[in-house]
Amino acid sequence: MSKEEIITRLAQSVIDGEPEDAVELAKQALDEGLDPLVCINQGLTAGINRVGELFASGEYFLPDLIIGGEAMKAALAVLEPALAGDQERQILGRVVLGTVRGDLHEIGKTLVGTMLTANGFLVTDIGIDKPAADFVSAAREANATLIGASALLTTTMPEQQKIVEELKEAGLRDQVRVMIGGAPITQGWADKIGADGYAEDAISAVALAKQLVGVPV
Amino acid sequence: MPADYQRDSLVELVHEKSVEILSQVGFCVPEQEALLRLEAAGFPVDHESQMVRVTPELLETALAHLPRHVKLYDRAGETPAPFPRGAPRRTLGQADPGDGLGDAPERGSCFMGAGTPVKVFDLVTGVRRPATRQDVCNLVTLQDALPQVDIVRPTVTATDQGDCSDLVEIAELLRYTDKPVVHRTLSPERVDAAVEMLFAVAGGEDAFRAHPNFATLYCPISPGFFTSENVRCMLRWAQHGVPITLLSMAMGGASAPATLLGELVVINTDILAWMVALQILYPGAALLYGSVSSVLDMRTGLLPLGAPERGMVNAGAARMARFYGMPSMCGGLSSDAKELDAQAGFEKLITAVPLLLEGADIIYGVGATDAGSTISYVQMVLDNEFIAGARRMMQGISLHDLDEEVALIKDNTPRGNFLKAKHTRRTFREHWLPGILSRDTYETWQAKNETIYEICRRKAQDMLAHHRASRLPSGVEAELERILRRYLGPDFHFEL
Repeated sequence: MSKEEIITRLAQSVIDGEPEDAVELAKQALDEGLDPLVCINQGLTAGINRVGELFASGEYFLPDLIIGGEAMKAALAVLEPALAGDQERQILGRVVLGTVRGDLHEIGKTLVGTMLTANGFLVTDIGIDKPAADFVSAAREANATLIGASALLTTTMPEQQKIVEELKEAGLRDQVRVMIGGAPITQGWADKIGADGYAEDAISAVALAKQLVGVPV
Repeated sequence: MPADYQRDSLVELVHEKSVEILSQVGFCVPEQEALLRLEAAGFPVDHESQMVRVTPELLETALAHLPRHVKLYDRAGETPAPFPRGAPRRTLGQADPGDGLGDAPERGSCFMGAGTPVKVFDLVTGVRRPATRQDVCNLVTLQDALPQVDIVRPTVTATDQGDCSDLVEIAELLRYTDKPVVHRTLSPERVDAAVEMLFAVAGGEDAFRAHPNFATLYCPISPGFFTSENVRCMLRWAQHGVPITLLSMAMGGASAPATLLGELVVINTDILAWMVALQILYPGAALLYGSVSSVLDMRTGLLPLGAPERGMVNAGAARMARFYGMPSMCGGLSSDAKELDAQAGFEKLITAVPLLLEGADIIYGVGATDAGSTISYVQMVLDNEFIAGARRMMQGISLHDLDEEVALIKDNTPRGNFLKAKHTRRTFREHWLPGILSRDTYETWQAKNETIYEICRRKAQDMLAHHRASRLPSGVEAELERILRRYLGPDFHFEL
């Protein structure tokens, strides 16, 4: 297989949503001595951009998007460690994402994570049932500029407020923007607790994240 | 797959697959004490993964313990809500050829208030805002006044009442309606207080257990998981003999397979798991089979509740419930609309009709709008109208002796006028007449100059101004207040 063909097929594996193929092609690319950054930019990113276009045009739906994102993540896990010391994948921002303490709901949060990843963000998903302190320490460790906090229960909403407060106490409030989401959440609640934004679904979460890091939507 | 395969064998197929999943994989119980109790009762338990499996013997024992008739009564403990009227218990494993959608059931469905989101559309301004304790009192009063609502919920969360709002909501339910009521607590510690209130209203534990006016409900996180709090709450309610609804909230394509049959397997497995667990730990515990499931919208990732699939999959759940001889509580009469519009009308009915045709015992959705995230006073009034019309539809064409009609037709053929006939005067009252929907001529409608929204709002305001359910005896109210003060502080008091 020519180098061009490997890169084209990498893109196609993302468009087709085939994580196993993507991983195989990524390994093959490294074996053949391809530049991993070129594979990422011209293969994976081109593929996920095409997925995004197909979604926007109504041809693709969430499962296509999610599995495309999974294929991209799987191939990235192979390619990124192979980047040379001075190479870095271009990312829009670093995001720490999780579900707040006392809340075990996962699907919506993970969906947001995949959408952000597919749109060029580097996402650290800290999981579910996480206290405010974990969000703050993860943001510090990952040098993140964004925190995304999900709460699906009316009883766990106040935990989102704690994240904003603990960021202030840690002296990180100026560097880190906070976006919140979940079924009972409203813009009014975001305003009340001093969060930087609220998104009602995964698609608007991407637009919000871009806005918060100053990227044209 | 041949069409009649699904029609005749759906319940057996789903049951068989649930049993396979429960015996091979089981369900997760993230609660140490409950795990130990289940293990002691004979369930195979893996402590590391907290997974509990169900053996065929446990299932058989549980089915034998399952009570045949679970009823909810009014507050006086006198009249049961109109469900399980002596329906024959189905023998497991035997197909019932008359079990298909479209066969008119012998009993009607109850309708119940929706809930319990944190938002409400204000009755006066129409603005969406956080719901309060006053909304709980008003919405309970409205459900009490609306004749088509059989079972009452707080429908909203009293967001001005802090962490213990669940107890306040239960108290206001008991004060503002004498219809059967359904609610839950969010913490196991508060179950005891809620039960104290229930027993105080019923006149003691025995009176409550004999004729309960209250059932609770808890949702799993599908598939195969209840939170530790919910497990502890359910065990505590069961200990006090309070009916529990195991209420699946599966999301097809997200927390369950995207096919409705696959989703139904998840719904049934989650309910069957805890049906068995509770019957083994508390033999004879009163349980309801619930599903407020739907399918994910694959454009947005939101959970639409006005989807046709919601009525379809929850009707499947109603059929499973009947197979086990359990009353069903099913999400329907639902909508994603934000206002009283064509979408609301379409979705409310398309999600209710499958449940009516299937004979679901309780249809859960009165007053809900915007995917259940906001309660609307005006929608609640319009829902009452929809239910009345739908109930008329469910009466079908009744078979009766035709001698009188045939004689009348002969006398009037050709070109006769039946409006003059005494038979007409005697029988026309079975026709449904709307109370809100307009059948006026264009000119009359125009002259009245009042939209459906305005009519519903006027009726709601009128009912709130004039209706009040019969009061609890003052001694009982004082007792409820005393119980609540322990949790809410000495300043807590009821409004008059």
